Amino acid sequence: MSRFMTRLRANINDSRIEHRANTMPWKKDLKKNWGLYLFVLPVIAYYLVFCYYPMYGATIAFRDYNPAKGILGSEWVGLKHFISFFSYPDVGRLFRNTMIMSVVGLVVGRSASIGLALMFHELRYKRLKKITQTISIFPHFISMVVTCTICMQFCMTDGLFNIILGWFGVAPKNLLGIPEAFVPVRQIMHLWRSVGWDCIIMLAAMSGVDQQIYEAARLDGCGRIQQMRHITLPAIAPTRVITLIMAVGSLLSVGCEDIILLYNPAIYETADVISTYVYRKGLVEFSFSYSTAVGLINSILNIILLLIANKISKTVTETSLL
Amino acid sequence: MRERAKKLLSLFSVTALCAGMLVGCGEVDNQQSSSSDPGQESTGQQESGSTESTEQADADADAGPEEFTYPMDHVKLTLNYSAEENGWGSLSAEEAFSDPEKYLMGGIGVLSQGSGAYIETNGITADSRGEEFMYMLISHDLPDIIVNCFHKSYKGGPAAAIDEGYIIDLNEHPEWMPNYLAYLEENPDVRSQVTTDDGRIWCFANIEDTEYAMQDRGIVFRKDILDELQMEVPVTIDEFEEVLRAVKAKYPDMIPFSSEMRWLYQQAMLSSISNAYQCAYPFYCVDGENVQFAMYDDNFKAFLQRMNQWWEDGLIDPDFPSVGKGDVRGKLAKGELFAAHQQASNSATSVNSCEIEGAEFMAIPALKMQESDTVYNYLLTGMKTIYTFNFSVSATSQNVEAAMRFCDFCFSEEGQTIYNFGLEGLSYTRDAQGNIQLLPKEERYKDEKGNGLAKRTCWAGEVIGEGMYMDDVEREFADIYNHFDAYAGVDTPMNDEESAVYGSYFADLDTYCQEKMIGLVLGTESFDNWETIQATCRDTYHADEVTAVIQSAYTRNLK
Repeated sequence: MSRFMTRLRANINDSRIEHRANTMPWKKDLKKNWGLYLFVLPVIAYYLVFCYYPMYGATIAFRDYNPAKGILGSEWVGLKHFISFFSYPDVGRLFRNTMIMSVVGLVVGRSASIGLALMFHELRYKRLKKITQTISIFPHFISMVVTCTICMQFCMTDGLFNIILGWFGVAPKNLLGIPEAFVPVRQIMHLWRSVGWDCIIMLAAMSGVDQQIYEAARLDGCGRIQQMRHITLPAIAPTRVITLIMAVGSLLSVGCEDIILLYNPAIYETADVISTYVYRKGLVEFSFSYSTAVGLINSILNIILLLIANKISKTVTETSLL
Repeated sequence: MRERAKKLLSLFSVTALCAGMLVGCGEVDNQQSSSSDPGQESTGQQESGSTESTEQADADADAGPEEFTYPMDHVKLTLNYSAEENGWGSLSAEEAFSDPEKYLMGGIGVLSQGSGAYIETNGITADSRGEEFMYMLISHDLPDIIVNCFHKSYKGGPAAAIDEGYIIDLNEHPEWMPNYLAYLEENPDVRSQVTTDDGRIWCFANIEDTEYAMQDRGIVFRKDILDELQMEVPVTIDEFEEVLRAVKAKYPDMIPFSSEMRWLYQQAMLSSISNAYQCAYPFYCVDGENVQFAMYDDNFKAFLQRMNQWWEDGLIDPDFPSVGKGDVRGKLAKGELFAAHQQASNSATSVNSCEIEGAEFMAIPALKMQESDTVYNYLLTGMKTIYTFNFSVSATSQNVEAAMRFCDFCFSEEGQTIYNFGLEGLSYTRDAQGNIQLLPKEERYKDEKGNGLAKRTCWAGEVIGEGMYMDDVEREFADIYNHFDAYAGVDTPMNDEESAVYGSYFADLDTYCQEKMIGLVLGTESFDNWETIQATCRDTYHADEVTAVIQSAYTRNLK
């Protein structure tokens, strides 16, 4: 741990020194590259107008927002909605389930997408590679409702999952009535739907590796697996790290559409997440403020996680998003 | 030179990008201003404009009321309703009325023909719980008539919607709604639901058909198999269980009983079985006085224990946790299922699609414990209930009189007939006694889009004759399911204070109870924890407060 902290401090100091060495006086830079600054101005304006300016709307989390009165005209209630959310008796369960689903999705999903990308990368016949890659992407375009309906049928006692489990001597049971089965079922569904799409970015990174390195490795007697281990995987390490950091930044933002379609009260114990709770609560009345408060909590926690992940990554691998 | 050209090009690109962004912002304003044009356009087209109508009203007030006749002068009104796209874009009133065969057909169109108001939807959902609807309110780009459920899910209720300038108090112009006022006079229970605490009328109501309300669901089973077993038609829950056990013993591959699990916890939906224990989830009143919360009632515990026993003994579909209505329907039709609890329409579909030779289906009323027991209707209170979606006139309407007259038309005799049955000769005929006889479905659905002339949509007005739209099988089942001896429902309008308490606590309480009920039935929760569950409902989820507000509303409305 102390070695890690030492490296962390050294890393911060090096960044400061590097920054000072590379800095040109900004007036001089502006005069020299005014065209570039002008070119990026609309982009900055876009983010200021559409991303930063509307942030003041997050204050409705601290108000009893009434559309008729507007944001500033609505009554200020302070932390009422935050207290209301944390007063829910099962709020711990919501966070727990959200984290579990996110972490499982992160680990399993990323491993699968990297594995699939490696397999595609190793295919020698380009035509076969293109065909299989295209087919693997198709499920991404199927609507979530259809995907969930298919999944529900597979989970029935005479569905595909029970048939496969039957080969291993497991008695048929409706998998959507077993709390412990929900996370694996949902993950399998997500894998089928998105692994082809997610592996695109990895495949793109792998395609950027110089082929001469592979040639040299082959001349040195490296087999396919060794090339994968020592060339391909290290080459895509920056991409892996960046996508991991971005994924950590949305750890608490498990979407609710598929869960709402699949879950039922029998499996709330493992299926109820923050977004499904807010969805249920939000149906009672127009609770914009409440939903915003929960969203704000999510965002703040996600930012903290992202910054931590970024810092750790920078220290360990010297690759970072920020 | 080249460098200068590059700089000029970058300057031009930047300027073009900025201009594009500004134009994008400007379009929103243009759209907002143009959307108010239809209101202005129809003001121009309306021959009795609002100014004229005010003057006219003043003159009428002096001269005595003049009878208003329909159809009124052609006018265009907008409202929010996600109707199908008509394919011919936005029309003026005169264009629409110039060719009614083309433009004024279907359930809404025929009301237009009768009233004189051409109705155009703005494509926004009528569900005021949705984001689309909220954006419409926030933008203040309101149609003339707002279809809404303010009484169900708007903070502060309909009174707040009036105070905040979205809808008007209809009492401001009683002279423009004589039919509706007469209807409210005859139906004080409806009046209480459409009137705010301070006496303002906020909507033209859509009233459910109380004859075939949501109680049209119950048990259907294979009569031919019952005959093979040589057993009597079950009346009590014990007899029904005996039948299920006999089916399981003789036909091990057949599922004895199935139902969508949500009927267990949606309001009173499995009351065809729980009636045997004289209870239903979540609230009911069997003595006419005291509202009961199911989780406090040991009778309800006994009902859950019975369901658990059935589950453990394999009498209930193993796919019960996730089976959908299509699955239940299909299993019954294919002969995989002996008995089901479902809606009459689904039972009819099962019957009509069953190809098993000799298969006969039978519906039975709610089960009892003893033959002499009462069958309760746990959904209805005996008072007419306004539907989820009702019709209010927006505060920004340029055609308040026309909007009110149009909605009021739906409460006239002519309007009620058109709304419920369509046009004579095209969707119905009359027999020698003058009773309405609907024409066959294929005749009523005239064009390829399936726009039936009659009863296509919920609308302002009272729904009657629902049974006429059912086929013989469905109506037979619905008539059996709707047989009851007394009301036990408690769903009555709440005031703002009661709604606030209910809204704050019921969602969480309901979630907790659903989880526990399902757990008890499926065996993942122990009945030894029943008292703990009750204590949690009371102490953590404020069940007493929720029960108290329901009791308060019930007592106030029904006493």
